[in-house]
Amino acid sequence: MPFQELAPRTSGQILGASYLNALSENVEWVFGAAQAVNMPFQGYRIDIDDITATEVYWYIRHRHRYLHYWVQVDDPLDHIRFKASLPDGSGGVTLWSDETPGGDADWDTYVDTDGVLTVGTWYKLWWEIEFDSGVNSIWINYMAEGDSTSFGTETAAGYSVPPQWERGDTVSHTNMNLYKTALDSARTQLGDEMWNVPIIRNNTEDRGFFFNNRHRWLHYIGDGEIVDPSGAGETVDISGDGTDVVVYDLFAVEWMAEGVAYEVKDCTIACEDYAP
Amino acid sequence: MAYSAISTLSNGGTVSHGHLNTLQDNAEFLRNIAKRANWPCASIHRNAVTGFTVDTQHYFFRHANSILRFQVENASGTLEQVRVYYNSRKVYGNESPGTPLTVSVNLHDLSTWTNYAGAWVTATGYDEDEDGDGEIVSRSGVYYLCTSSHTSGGTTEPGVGVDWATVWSVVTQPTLGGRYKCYFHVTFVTGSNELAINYVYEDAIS
Repeated sequence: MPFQELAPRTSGQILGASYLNALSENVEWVFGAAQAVNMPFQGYRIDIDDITATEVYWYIRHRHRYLHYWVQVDDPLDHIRFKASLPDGSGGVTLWSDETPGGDADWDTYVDTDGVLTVGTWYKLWWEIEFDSGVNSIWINYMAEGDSTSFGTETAAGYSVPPQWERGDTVSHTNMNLYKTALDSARTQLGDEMWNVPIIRNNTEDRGFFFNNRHRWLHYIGDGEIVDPSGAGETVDISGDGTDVVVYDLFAVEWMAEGVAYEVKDCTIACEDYAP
Repeated sequence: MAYSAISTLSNGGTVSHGHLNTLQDNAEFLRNIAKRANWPCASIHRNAVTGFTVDTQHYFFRHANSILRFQVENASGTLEQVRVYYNSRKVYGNESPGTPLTVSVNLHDLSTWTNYAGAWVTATGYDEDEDGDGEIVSRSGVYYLCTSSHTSGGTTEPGVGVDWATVWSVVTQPTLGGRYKCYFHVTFVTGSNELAINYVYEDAIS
């Protein structure tokens, strides 16, 4: 059952069982969403003297102001630049740079993209570095964007199933407090902010993107296919020009349902979104 | 709109419209948080692999769920060893894996980890931590990682003996929202081979 919009209560209204049950269903919906699978950011260690040549890119549909990154190098750098552009390479911008970084370095911080990137637009992200000499390593450990300058940590709280009501039931404080317990627990799981992780670009043949379906819209670049790893569902071909992000309606895949595991093959990137 | 503190009702308290609206507003707030984009896990395919070193590609989680799921597959060659690390601890090891190797590990139940050696007992040899591979014991509800090989005795009893901290460290569990690195260590029996790490993700369901 989808999340239901409930009109605000006003003073003096009768508290009906249907309202309380809708509230219960919403709370359960939220807690169910909080249990969705959690995919990682895929980091990379790059061994080269100039990583722009390796074409290691990440893609993100920009939504949140602060782009966090954690990058480490063990050898002296000549320079390091964090860059973004549209997927076709146009509109390039340097998000952050250090032209005289010196020796070992560990950047675990964020950049404010306010006024630099446009919300809802897909961007390509990459790191442009050059070492003072020879072939060395850089660890691109983490990138994610959020609405705050820090990602907090929380301690798990217990969940309680919200009550179901019938007409004439007595509204006890015990039952009403189950809503609080459930919502507080879901909040602990979800945190207080939306966040978003960039997707590493596929540079090798046969590489796939593994999903557990949550959203209707699949954003991708390239010519590929949607595959049911179990073999039961029919493979669906998806196409594109290899440069621009294309949006596909997953409702068109007969065997697709929320929570179903599937793979997108032969594409450069793929990501599910709640908006086309 | 931010998440609002919900008051706890007491017996005889009034269920006000304000209280109900707070519940619904908070549910909507969380709904928006949960609505975030669903990004995939990109598989790793490598040709000509003799030993897949852990540092070349890795995964960083904002920890949310307790079950870690992954699948490792060899297109050619025979796997010799698959080890998986999370939060600098080996959470899974298999020295004679089949393929495809599909595994789920409970990150919060250390007693299910490969290196769990049971409840601490005295007069027993415990192996040290090598790249997070040390043996883990439990004592009084706390888990300890062996950081120096030794034969156990009263002075090294975890959390109690005067020298316990010289051979043990307390294993901390990942916290929700914390950032943790996950990586693989894979080797083949002989030669160069083809390896795929198809996926790794956290799940709430075991």
